[in-house]
Amino acid sequence: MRFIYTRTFAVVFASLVVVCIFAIMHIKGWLDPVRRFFLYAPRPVAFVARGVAMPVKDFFSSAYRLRDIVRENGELRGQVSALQGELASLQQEKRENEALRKELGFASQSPYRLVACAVLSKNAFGLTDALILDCGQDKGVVLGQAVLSQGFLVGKVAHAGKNNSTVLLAVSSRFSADAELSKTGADGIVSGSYGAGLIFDRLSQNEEVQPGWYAVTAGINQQIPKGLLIGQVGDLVSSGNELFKRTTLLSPVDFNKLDFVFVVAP
Amino acid sequence: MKFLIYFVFLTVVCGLSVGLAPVLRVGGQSPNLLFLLSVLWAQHKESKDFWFFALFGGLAMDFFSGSVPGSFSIPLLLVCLAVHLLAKRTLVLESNWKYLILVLLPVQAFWFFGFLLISWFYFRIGATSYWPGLMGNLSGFGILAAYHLLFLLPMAAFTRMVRSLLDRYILLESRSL
Repeated sequence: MRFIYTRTFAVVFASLVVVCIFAIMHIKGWLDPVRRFFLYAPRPVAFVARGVAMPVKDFFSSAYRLRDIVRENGELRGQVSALQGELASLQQEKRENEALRKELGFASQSPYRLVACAVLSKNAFGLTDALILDCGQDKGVVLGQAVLSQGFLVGKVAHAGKNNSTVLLAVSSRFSADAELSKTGADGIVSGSYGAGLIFDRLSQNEEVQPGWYAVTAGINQQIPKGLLIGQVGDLVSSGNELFKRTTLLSPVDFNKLDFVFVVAP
Repeated sequence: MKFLIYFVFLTVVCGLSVGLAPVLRVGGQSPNLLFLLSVLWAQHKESKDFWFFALFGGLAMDFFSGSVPGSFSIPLLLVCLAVHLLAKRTLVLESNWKYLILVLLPVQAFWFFGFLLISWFYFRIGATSYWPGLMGNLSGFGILAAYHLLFLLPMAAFTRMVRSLLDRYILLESRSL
């Protein structure tokens, strides 16, 4: 019997047709209930598996990094005392600022609306560098909006469904966003580095850049507001002969441990 | 009833894969237990139910990775069909670890490049706003292969256990009839 007349072929062909129908439904935006079912069904098992495995991993990674942790602790203690001094002066400035605001009648409101979302999947099968969030168009999430965690940019919305959405992580090589140095205003482009970290590229060779300075969004893209923190400048990775300067950016966010994020609705 | 058991089994494996991914991630890659499950089920000569694991496992991968349906599932269905036909039509007396390793690497390569090709197609027709990219993922291919080799035998043992449980259940059911 020819292969195309077998039951196996018929079943696989029917499965391919089902997938194609699902793809069309996805494009039309009708697939959300099915997607939601698939995303929620394995959650209890995923939650338990992660809950068991994460402390084991943390224990071994802490034991491995013990020397680094001791050194880091010393550095952080130094930073804490420096920051405490800064905090005292900032608190004083805040009091003055509040008093001035009251006098001028300004409302102390955040300039943008933050939509809190839970992360359903964190780049579960590699390859796509994507997060799946439990909020979508029903909460005002639209394509291209910035996503924050701990106040830092972690990605942007790549697909907004009715009640879930996909976020392209900032560490993905496909990610890019306009950015500037908060200290000098020198602009460039932030992109991901194959899942390893962030790169601040296209900085003019004439611009000064030093480790520790903050990079923020430049606000050229209307969906991503100006002034969102991206990270701290790390090492310079370009040479003087190149057309542009390129540095690494250090984000305090652990992209593997994102449980809740905020979508910025301007 | 058989498909309900398959569904529960698939959900457990999917949950394990998703839950362990952030813990086991190395170089952006983590073991894809759904892929292993589908391939292992497909290489059984007697069972024709591999399509269930390939279809729903593939769709789960699509949904959990934020891809358009078909990006993972179409290559997985085709690859599993090829593995099943290979197991049925060639003289493979038993599926030992040497055979599994020999089959796994080319199968992963076809699935991997199939995924990139279909994702590129979806990107070109505007169904998705970005393409995962070739270079970034090529570097992860080796890590993924190493992970799959590491998890191949435990996953094979797990699959065998479920199959024997299922056979016992079907036997009991036929006796009761």
